[in-house]
Amino acid sequence: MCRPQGPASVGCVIEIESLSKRYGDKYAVRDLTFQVRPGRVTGFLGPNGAGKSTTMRAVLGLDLPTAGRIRVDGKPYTALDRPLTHVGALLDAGAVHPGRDARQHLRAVAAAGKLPERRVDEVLARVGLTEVAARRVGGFSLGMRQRLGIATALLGDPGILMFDEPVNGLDPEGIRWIRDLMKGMAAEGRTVFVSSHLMSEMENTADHLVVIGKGRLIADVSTRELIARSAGGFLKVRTDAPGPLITLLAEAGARVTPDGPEVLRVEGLDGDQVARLAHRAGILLLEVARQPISLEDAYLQLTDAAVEYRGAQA
Amino acid sequence: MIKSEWIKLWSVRSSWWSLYVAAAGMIGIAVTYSLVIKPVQATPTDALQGAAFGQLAFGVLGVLAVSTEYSTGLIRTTFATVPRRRRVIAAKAALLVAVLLAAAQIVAFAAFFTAQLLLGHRGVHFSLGDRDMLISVLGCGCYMTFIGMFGFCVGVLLQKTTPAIATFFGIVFVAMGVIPNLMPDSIKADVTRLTFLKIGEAMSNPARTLPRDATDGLLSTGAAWGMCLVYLAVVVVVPLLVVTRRDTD
Repeated sequence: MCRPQGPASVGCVIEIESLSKRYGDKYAVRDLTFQVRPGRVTGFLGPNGAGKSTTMRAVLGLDLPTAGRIRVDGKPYTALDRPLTHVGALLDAGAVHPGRDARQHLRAVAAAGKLPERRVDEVLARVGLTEVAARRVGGFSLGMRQRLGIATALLGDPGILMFDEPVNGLDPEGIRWIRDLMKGMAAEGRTVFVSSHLMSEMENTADHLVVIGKGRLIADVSTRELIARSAGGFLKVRTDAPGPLITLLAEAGARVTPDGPEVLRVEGLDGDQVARLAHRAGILLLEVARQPISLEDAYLQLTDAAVEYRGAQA
Repeated sequence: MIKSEWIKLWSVRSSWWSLYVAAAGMIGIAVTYSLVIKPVQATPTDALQGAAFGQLAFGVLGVLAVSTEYSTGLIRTTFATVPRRRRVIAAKAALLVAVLLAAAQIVAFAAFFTAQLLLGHRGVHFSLGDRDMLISVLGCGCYMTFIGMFGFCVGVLLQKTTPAIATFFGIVFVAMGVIPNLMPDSIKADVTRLTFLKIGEAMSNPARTLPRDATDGLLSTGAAWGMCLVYLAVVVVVPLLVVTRRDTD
């Protein structure tokens, strides 16, 4: 699937280097650098307006960068021969003429992309739209349009798949379908690059996360690492002798803050250590519980400073 | 690329409707005219009067052929599929010129033969072999092709269907009627001759049999054809120039 395409370049990689895009005097994306690699789902996260769609359009050569460069399989997108065989993209499921039927839509794209006509029926079957292929897209539900968009992305059997907010507005079944599809594609060795403004959507899907805010890179980490980082969290310790325990744990190097009459918030020690220390000192512990920061919290912390449009605080 | 555009053009109903409307308008007006005109006043080019109507449908078809692709966002898929955008626009333009030309000629000849048949029953006889008759019918079709391509050009420039159609009508039927009147008297008549409608009139009626009014403000047939080709070149080249310089959102 993703074979090297020459000595200097690797297949199925999107390389974004110092990308900036300015509209008028406002930067949508500023000095953004990261790479998207094969064999995993890379989540592209950021609040609305962070520059995710702009970046994706720039990858496809649709928006011309103000500065920086983007390479797909080692080349600028516009220099690719038959680009649909390299990158399949779903930017907007509504981007279909409502008066055209699904098969004609795909036939037109296949013809423009110099792809064999048989691919049309193959991708229709792949996304489960064979039955409605002759129906006009205007009558499609959002979920069906989303499937058609994905069929379009799969037409060229590309090594890289790029989806912009693919689960927006979908019902749970549709969300699961897309999630499974993305995981399956990554397992086949493809590069899957998917944007979302909701951490919860990515939690179970993405192996790697690129987080941006206000057009700048905030984090480029594996999901596992982000979870580990967040799981640092703190211990909630309940005891009937908070005073002596504070002294004891502080001496052992923990950061301890009272959090209610009998409750302490402990950072820097794990549960075993706290229990042993308390046992040796003869202090009774009523409760020891780890309070992990949820991924959502971690993400919110990361992006907090980068939220472009915030509702007024009530 | 042409095949893709061919599929796109014929897989939406609006294309068919535009052509039906153009055909119905042109032939319908030819029929009406042939039945109501006083035989002594009849002149063969009146068979082509419906072009005034047909060109509306052609212009709308030209606009829709490209504006719907922009307004639905499909253009992003198209340009991602074929990053060399001029190739896309050139293919669209080439296909549209061919389709419009074929349709316009069929419709123009159909209108002519209809009028010939009906007026023949009323004792007014003329034929394609008459002086300048063939060139009139061909001119009518070529002019309508140009107007359709003008719609295409406006569609590429404005990208949205409603503003593009409004602009198309505004320019062809309003601005081009008003602007000459704003010109100094010395060039007013010359400017009027260069407006689209007058070019179309000059191309479709060299065969008229009634005496031409010296002040009817038309270019000679050859000059009108020349201007039409110049305009056609402009409305094809302008979209090719702008399309690579814009973001597609």
